[in-house]
Amino acid sequence: MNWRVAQRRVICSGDWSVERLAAVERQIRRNAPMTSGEWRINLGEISTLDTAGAVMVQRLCRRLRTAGASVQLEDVSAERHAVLKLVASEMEVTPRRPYSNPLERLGRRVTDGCFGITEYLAFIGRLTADSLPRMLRPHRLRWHEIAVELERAGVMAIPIIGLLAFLIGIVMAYQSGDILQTYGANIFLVDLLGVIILREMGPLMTAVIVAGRTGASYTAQIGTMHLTEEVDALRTMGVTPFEMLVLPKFLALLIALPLLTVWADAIGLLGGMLVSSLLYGVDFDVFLRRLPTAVPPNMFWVGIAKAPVFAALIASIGCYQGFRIRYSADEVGRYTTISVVQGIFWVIVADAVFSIVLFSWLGL
Amino acid sequence: MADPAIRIRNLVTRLGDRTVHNELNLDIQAGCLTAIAGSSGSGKTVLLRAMALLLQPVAGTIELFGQATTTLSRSAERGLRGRMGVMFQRGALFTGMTVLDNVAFPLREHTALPRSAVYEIARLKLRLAGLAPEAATLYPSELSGGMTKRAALARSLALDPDLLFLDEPTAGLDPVGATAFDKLIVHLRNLLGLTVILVTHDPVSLWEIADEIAFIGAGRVLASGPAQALTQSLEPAVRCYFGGARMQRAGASWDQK
Repeated sequence: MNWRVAQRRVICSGDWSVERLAAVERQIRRNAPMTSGEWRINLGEISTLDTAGAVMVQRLCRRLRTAGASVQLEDVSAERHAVLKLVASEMEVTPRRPYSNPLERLGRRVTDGCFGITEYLAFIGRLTADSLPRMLRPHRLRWHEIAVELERAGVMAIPIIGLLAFLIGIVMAYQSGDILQTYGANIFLVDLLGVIILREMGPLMTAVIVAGRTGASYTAQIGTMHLTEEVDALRTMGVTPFEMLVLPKFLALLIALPLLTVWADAIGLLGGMLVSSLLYGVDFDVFLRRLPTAVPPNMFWVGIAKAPVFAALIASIGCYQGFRIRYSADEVGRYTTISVVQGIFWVIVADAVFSIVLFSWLGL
Repeated sequence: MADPAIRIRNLVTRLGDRTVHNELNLDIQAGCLTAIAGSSGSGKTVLLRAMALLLQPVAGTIELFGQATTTLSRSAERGLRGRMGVMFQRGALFTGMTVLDNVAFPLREHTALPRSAVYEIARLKLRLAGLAPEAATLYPSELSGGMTKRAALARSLALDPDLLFLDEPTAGLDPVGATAFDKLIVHLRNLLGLTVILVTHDPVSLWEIADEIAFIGAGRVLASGPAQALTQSLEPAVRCYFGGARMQRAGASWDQK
């Protein structure tokens, strides 16, 4: 661009198409003089002018006009004239979204938090109302869906849960074995590993992995089905999404999680046993012979009893968050994250409640 | 005649095991409004996706503006993508952004313009597509079907493309809205000198706005030419398509004009 300030002329030249406009814009911003008078803008030397370029011409004109100048365009061909007219015809201001102040946002978050609980309870209520009639007539349950979910949530989780349980068994045996060895109390590894793995680590860790794996997939699946209107399609066919989507997942997880816990218990103990025999001289047969006397069976049953509760929490939170997804792909990510975080959070809270109730009140 | 904007030679595409196009040849002239027609499942959208660099052909070449698309460097590909706009069948608007941000997005990606200029250009595109300014701050989930189409058109126009691909632009619109949309496409084509390729089933669009129709069937172009010429085609599939009642009625009303 050639600025001839003395003659009040601008000669625009070159490529004014959208890819090259940034340089033009910079020139206008830097060089446009703030002088009034009668300016003439020559467009004859512009090689290409697209609509974005035309917008830039308008911006140049506006800038000169705000400085009090009057502006005349010259050397404008007929087709460019049409494009420029199109751009100039309206200069409306887009209305803004209503601004929300921080206080309002805080209030909204609080009420959302409070009503979130009631919404969740309403969800549980509807799920129960839809499920009970089916549960009373088991032949009407969707066994096929349950089997599919059982495979996804249960069978396919076996390798990862086995591997992690094995590693945790190894780590715990290794860490506690060192301390016990200093007292010559290696044999108590059996008691320690038995209690910790069967009662706490087995169920808790399995639930955490399942919350991350399965809870997230429940949320994402139901949410995506919402976005593609599949849920609405089910509704129009008189099938409630609860009994079609939620109930099979719920039941499947109720079955799968205790079984996975048993698996995690066994593999965790195996890992612990391996370290005990290799490093601390507690052989397999010694370990296995001591285990039933060292760890009363109710330790095992307490661990297994927690699993269905964890499963109910994970499945209901996962599905509930899925139903909150309404409009956008964004929400799928957001609510899936919430689902996993809340799932793990409530599993740990439930575990703490179990410890307090069972241990201090019932003396188990 | 000048070099065509798009030149397709011996194109073979596959979806899974199914061969969609087999040795397809097609030339599309610059500035021409070409409709791709054909019965459902004949591979119209697949052809559009191949031309829009969204699908790698199994064999054959596609040249856009004389550049073979199979051997593009990354920067050449990006440059080429900047010259084309695609409007998807269901809009494919980004659901997490407002309509205005949707239109501004390609501008932000491809240019270094400041925000105010980007938004000014984006608002212009929305207006060109016939959207009320109030719609700019809405999210895609708050739009009606017609508004979604217009917003999608605005976004495909964001970078002042030379090539505009439209996938079923009038599907799902009411007749008045569809006619208006057809007019809008022609208007924009004339105004901005676009080369437009549209996939459509709409008989009215085929008769009224298409300069050329490429009829696809059996994996290749069975016939091409204006609608009137295609009614005389010797290909049974083409005759069948253009002999249907809806197509006849659209043709009759075109004849009256």
